Amino acid sequence: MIKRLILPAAILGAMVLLLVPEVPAYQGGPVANGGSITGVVKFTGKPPASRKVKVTKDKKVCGAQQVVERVKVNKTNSGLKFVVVSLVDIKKGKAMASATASLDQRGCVFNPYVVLLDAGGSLGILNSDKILHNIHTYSRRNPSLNIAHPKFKKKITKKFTKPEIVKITCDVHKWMEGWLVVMDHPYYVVTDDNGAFKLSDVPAGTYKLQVWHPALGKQTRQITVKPKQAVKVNFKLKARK
Amino acid sequence: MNKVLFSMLGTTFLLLLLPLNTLAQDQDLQAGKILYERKCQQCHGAQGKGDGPAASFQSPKPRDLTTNLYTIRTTPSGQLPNDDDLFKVITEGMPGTAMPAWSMLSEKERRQLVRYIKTFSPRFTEEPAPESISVGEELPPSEEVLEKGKQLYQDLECFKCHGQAGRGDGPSAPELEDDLGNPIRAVNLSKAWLFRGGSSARDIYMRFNTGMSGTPMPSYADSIEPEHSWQLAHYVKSLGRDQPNYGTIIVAKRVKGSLPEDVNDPLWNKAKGVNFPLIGQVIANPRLFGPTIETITVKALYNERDIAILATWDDPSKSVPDPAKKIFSDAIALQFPAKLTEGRERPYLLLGDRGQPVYLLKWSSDGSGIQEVNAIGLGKEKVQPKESQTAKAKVLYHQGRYRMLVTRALVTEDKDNDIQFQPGKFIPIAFMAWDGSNGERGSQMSLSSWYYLLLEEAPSRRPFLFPPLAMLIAIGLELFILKRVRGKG
Repeated sequence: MIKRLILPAAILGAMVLLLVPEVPAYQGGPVANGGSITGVVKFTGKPPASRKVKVTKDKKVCGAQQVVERVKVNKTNSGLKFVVVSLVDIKKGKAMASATASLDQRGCVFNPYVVLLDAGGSLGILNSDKILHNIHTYSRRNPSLNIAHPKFKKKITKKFTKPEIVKITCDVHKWMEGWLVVMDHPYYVVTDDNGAFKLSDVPAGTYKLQVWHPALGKQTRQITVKPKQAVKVNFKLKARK
Repeated sequence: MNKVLFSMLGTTFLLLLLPLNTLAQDQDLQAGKILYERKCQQCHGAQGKGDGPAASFQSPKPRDLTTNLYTIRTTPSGQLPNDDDLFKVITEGMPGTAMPAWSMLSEKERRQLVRYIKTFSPRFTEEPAPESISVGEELPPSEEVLEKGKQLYQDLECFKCHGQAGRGDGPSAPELEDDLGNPIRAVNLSKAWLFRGGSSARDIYMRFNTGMSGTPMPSYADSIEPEHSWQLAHYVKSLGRDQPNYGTIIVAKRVKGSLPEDVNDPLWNKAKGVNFPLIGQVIANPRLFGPTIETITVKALYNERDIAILATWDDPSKSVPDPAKKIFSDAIALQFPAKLTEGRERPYLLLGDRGQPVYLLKWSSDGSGIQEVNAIGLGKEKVQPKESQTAKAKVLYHQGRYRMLVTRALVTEDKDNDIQFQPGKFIPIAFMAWDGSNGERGSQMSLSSWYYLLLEEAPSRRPFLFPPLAMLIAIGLELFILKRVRGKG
């Protein structure tokens, strides 16, 4: 009798296992005595030349020429803009705050070039240009979308549930490129005009800190955060060979 | 006690049924795998990566079944296709590609293939089966519906890629790429028989509401109401014809007075255009596997002295040769035997041979215009000397379409090298076309088979003379016999 029940029991067991919900990767809550990580990402060497694209359509909106500058370096202090700085392996910390982010198509450019969004959040996509654009995403984990954004449509909202860095292009205007960074924890920022960044309310501990730039790749470094103290970390990125 | 035992036995029985069901499904899967290996693997590859041995000869390339990028679906952008979507593509094939319709397989077999194909991507087991978007009841076409659809075509800026007349010649068309970075064409909406996902209004409705994953074609589902979708679908359908309607013989009518002097001459309404299919030249190296031009429409008229031929073909780009950018000339050639023979034998299709040379009327966008050329094989072409160039051509390019009018004398002095257009004879004719922006040149061309041009003879008076005469004689004879018979009586 018992022998006969082994197989069905095994099947039943397997079915139950399949029904168990996925354990959330990150736990958010109040952080007491957190520290912070600040720093600057600089570019070393000669920045790659910008690319000039002759515009053959929608010239009224896009202009006669588009200057495509993927590596934005501050001329006075070499600070590198649009670098995503994030903690890689954090499992517990402050609560996730922003459930929405906004991406505009303005002057035939995605604005901002790099947009951040918490996993499960909604991306509000705007079309300020009043001409046809399309949002074509290249995903591995989220669905790869290709959404037309005709001139009369003000806003389209799309949800992204899985952490991933997603490239965005427009097929109507080939020079358009944007990046959507989706993460399942709140410790990620993008550098400003001076290449500066700050991550705050980080629970004390040792972490892997990563910087990533769409055209220059990534670097990681081990750092230790102490309670109520600021760690200073600087990075230098150079052109890929 | 009995009750407990009974219920336990019952449960066990039910639980035992589960694996039985799985077993049946596994048999389907196994059958699907065998079918796949027999029918699909050659192109789609053993691992479904679209890299089978026959893949390199195809354009577009076979689908990589591991990427989840299915163009033909009824599900929202970014979603997987559902079983019925996959079943439809297997059953109907994909027109304009190497994917044939597998309707010769039984429904069960096709379902087994669907089951197996889904094993190439884990997403099919990770995600619930996506639902088709609802299309509701079809709005029947009417003048008003088409008018509104036309407006939508403007408002939604379909022309950005597909062009104002829908011939795939929009300003963004030349730079389109698929998700793998390979160049891809905007579909010519006037040739519905080549639509990958079918040409019914419902099929077209689906394409712009679901988008075509892996390609630049986006989904408009966020911005368009069902009513508008039907209007646009019917308008797109109205841009061309559903069927290629191929023919085999161009019948040139004889006109009195002068022949049409340009491509828009209303005289052309008198002539019936005949459509001919062209395919990439794959006989000799270098070959062409992804030709642009796949149809040519030809009509002809003649008078006592000349013949005028009007050829029309779609090419999404007017190519100005620039070898540095691998852009060559657009070109077209009408091929005839250099000399008509009495037998049925025609010259070798690919530019003839020494035994039977060919005569070409060839036009090129490189500025050389129309030229009379003789050839005895590929690469053995010889442009006739200037003094024997008598053909004239007018070429117009508008909204993704070339139209060429060629005029030549019916009879020329050089009877060995120029085809003589004799009324009443079936004159073999074949076509070659090059799209320079597609890297086409030399042997890399679109090529048709041999067809015929027939100059209709002036109607003879005989049919109007002899039958009535014969009738009169017969009646006379009959009356005479009757009279004789009655006289005797």
